[in-house]
Amino acid sequence: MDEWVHSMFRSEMSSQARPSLDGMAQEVLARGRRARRVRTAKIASTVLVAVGIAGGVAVALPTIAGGHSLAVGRGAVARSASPARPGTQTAPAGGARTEPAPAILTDARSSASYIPQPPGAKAATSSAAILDELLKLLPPGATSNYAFYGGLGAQTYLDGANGLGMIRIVLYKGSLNPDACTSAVPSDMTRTCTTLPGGATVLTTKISDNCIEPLVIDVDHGDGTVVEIDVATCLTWNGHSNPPAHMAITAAQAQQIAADPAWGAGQMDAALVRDANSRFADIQGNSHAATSVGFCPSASGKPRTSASRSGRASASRCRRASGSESRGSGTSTAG
Amino acid sequence: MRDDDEFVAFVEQSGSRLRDTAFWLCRDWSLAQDLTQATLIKVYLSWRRITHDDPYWYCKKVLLRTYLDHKRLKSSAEVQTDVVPDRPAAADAAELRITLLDALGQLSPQDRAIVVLRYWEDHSVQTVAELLGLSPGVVKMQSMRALASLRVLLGEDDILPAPLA
Repeated sequence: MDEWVHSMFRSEMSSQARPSLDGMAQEVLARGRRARRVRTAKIASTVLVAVGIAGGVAVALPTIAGGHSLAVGRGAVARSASPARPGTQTAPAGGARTEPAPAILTDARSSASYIPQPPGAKAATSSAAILDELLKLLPPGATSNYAFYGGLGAQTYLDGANGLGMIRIVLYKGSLNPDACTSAVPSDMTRTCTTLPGGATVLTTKISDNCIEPLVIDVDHGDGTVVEIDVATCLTWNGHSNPPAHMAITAAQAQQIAADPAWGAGQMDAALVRDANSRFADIQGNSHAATSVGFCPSASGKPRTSASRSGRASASRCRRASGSESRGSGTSTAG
Repeated sequence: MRDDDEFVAFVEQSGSRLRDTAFWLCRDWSLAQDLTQATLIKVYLSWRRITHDDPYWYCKKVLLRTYLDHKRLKSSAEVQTDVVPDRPAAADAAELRITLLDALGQLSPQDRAIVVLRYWEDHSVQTVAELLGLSPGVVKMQSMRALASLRVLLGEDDILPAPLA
């Protein structure tokens, strides 16, 4: 019964040119590990909040060296008796501690604002606005392969002074966990914490065996915004591999971008949001927060230039040719 | 407890099969790859807690949920094709392939999932019902309705043998 359907399926599939799956397992593993780290961060902060409440711990802000109020991570509350966080520390690789490295984020929000946003009308932050702002802040060069990923995140390629490379940005609601600055980390990772003049903490993470995140800069703006910039040494998955690439920007440039006052995990400039949502409408709404995964958008747009910023993003669908992690791609010329 | 090596082995063993199913659901290899990756990452996050004897079963449920959730969000990356012709122009293999994909695209996401599970995966009505969280009666009814639609869309009289039953 209904054998005709079976036979059509079989006939169809036998005539299909199925793309290679080489490397998918490792790709999934790498992204899964990252998603697990993000999830662990949320769980850790929840547990710490519960511990804090159960113990009747008053929510008081510890003071870090230099006299700045620490972001109100509940993790900070839980370890309020710990020594003050130094301005700069490098967590030793492969330290003696055997427990997992602490999560770098907590859900708790700081009452302090280390990098206040400029005044003006605000609107709910979108991935489109993040992409648009990122493009404005990047050094000169041609940008392409725009994509959204994560809850509030974006990706672009930049072909500039340092060569072609990929840059990603994610905005988190929460604050950096100060424990992440002082704890041992896996042998393939180093973490360095610094404090900016305004009091914002900068967490620099280097992961040696991860070409997507060999350099990760997190800046805690206070007021519940953490900005993460990933500077990759490869491009997105092309069906066979992640082609090697250059670090398109330096750590200092990444830090400067991440510390820009425009960023806000909750709200950003209303005009920017409105304009970006319209311009990137064809890749809008394809972000998936929970595991930083999603789907390619179907729509295509036309190239745009930064001079006019009136074009539309996404010149082609994010086929495997442009990367398995891409949600959309586009072409433009920045700077 | 399954570790990462076991997970990688599972992906290498089952990834292709999973992606084929994903392809029938979304009708595009690129999207199928994304859908498969999204599914596998979700499975990875639960890997240590998966106690089901057959991880692939769990994986398939996640795939279907991911697919249907995605469609509900209406952020679909569905491949839009031309309107399916009333009758196929020819019955050669190429035309057959395009027509089948197009015809599947005319079904609702849930009906498409039912057809794929029933006739590509060869699952029973009961199994499809369990996978989709529907009653067997609903699956049976929607399956019949979907097949009837396919017959019309595919121009059954021209290119298909008469149904056996």
